[in-house]
This record gives sequence, structure tokens and C-alpha cells, in this order.
Amino acid sequence: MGELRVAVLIAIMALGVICSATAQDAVKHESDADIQKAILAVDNERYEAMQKKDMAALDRLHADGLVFINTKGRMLNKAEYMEEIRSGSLKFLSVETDDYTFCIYGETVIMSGRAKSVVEYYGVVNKRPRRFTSVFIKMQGQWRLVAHQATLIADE
Amino acid sequence: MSVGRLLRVIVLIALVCPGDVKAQNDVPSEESVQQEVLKTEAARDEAMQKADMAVLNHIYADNVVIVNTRGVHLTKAQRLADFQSGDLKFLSFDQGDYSFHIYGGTVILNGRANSVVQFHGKVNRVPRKFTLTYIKLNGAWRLVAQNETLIDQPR
Repeated sequence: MGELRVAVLIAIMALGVICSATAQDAVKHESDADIQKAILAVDNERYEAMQKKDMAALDRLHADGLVFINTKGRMLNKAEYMEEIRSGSLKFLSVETDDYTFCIYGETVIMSGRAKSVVEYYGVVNKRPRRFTSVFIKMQGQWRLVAHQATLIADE
Repeated sequence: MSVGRLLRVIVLIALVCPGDVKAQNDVPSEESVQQEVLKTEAARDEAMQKADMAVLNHIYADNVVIVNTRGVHLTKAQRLADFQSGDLKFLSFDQGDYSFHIYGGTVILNGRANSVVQFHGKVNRVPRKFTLTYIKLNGAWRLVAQNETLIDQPR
């Protein structure tokens, strides 16, 4: 009986090693185009969740260690950022983003772009275009935003 | 299957996948990753002040994405040209208030810069917040993204 337990335990460990290798191979086979599509889908889902105040979706799409720096140079953690959305301090009146650049490094993706969304922040409406950098990392099969920073475009 | 036979299978698997086992054993501590990244960052800071193009070329990844405080997206070639031509100069250097988030071979480094910078003849003393993303590529930490935003000053 003891031997059988050890045998089962060893078999489970071996399976773990094989699964780990298989998962890494699967990542390698995902094309850059597929990854870009997946990131854009996640980002769209994120904006939709912000507009609908879908806190469960926002919780899933943002990493626990999220660092968010807004156009005022304020640095927020995940809880602070989500609270701004939940409380209505941060509202997206419209969403418009374009001019994307993607740099893919395995399971880390740098997405840069321009946003012309109209945002209400603590009662003040901001229509000025901005450049942003978002960093997404795949964690347990889900792309999550780990860092985001936005900067107003001075010349537009 | 006997335990002995199963063990032989395990040893065989370990021999076939030595990289996986070694990689797991070699995971560096968060402290050592922070130290490595800070060392790279110190080298970058010094190279920026001296316009040391070889060091900058090594630290900035080829596809680095840079968003400066004016919201302009710059490539590596454009950023290096700014240093080489003297269009971008550090008149004083002061940055700190760092926070790190480490995700394996990816590090998010946030901080505050109070450096006085001259950009195309215009001096900027406004403090700024930044996000730097470092990724370990071929054994070296390379800067793959940099975004800076001026800190809104109370009026």
C-alpha cells in the first residue's frame, strides 16, 4: 500500500514536468498576430468593464500588483484604481484609441498607443489626447494588465 | 509498475528536460533581481549624463517603446540621436522613490525623477513619474519600455 502511494505520487510529479514542458511549447506556437488580437480583446473588455463598472471583470483583467500612473502623474495601485472607477471619480464618457504599437516578448507584451477618449476625472472633463504604454503579462492563461501610464500629448 | 521502474522513468524524463529542472532551481530572489535592475539603471543614468552611446545601445532594447513627457512616442534610434546630438541633456540628476514589481524575467520599475533636463534648448524642472519595463534578454536586463508623465503641481 505504501509503495503504491509513492508510485502514484511519483507519477503525478512526472506528469507535472511533462505538462510544464507542453505548456511552454504551446506558448511558442501562438503567433504574434494571435497575441495582438488577444491583447486588443482584453483591452476592449477592460474599457467595457470600466464603462459598466463591472468590478468582477476589472478584478480579473488587472494584476494584483497593478501600477497605474495617470496623466496627472498620480500613481495608483489596483485597489485605488478600482475604487476610482467604482465610486465614479473616474468615468469614461467615450472610448477611442488607435495608433497601436506592439512589442511581444514571450508572455510579456508592451502595447503603446494614442487615446482620444473623453474622460471625467473628479468632475473635470478631459478631452485632450494622450499617449499611453500598457504592459500585459499572461498569468495562468489570462492576459492581465500589470502596468499602465498615460501622458498628455503636448502638441495636439 | 514497480516503484523502481517508475523511478527509472522519472530519471529519464529529468535527463530529457534538464533545462526545466535547472531553470526552476536557478530562480533568483526578488532582492537580487532588484539589485541587478538598479545596477543596470545606475549604468543607464551615468551613460545618459556622459552620452555614452555604447552603453545606451546595450541597455535600450532594439524595439524599446519610449513616451516622453510631451507625449511623443520615440524609437531607440530617435532617443539615442537626442543624446548624441546634445538635444537632450541632464543638467542635474536626481531620481528615486522606486517601487518594483517582478514577474519572472520582467520587471516593472516605477519612480519619481526630479532631474533638471534640457530638451531642444528648453529647460524642464518639473518632477515626473515614470514606468520603466526591464526584460532579461540573453542574460542581460534590457529596457523595453519607458513612459514619463509630469506631476501635476498644486496651484
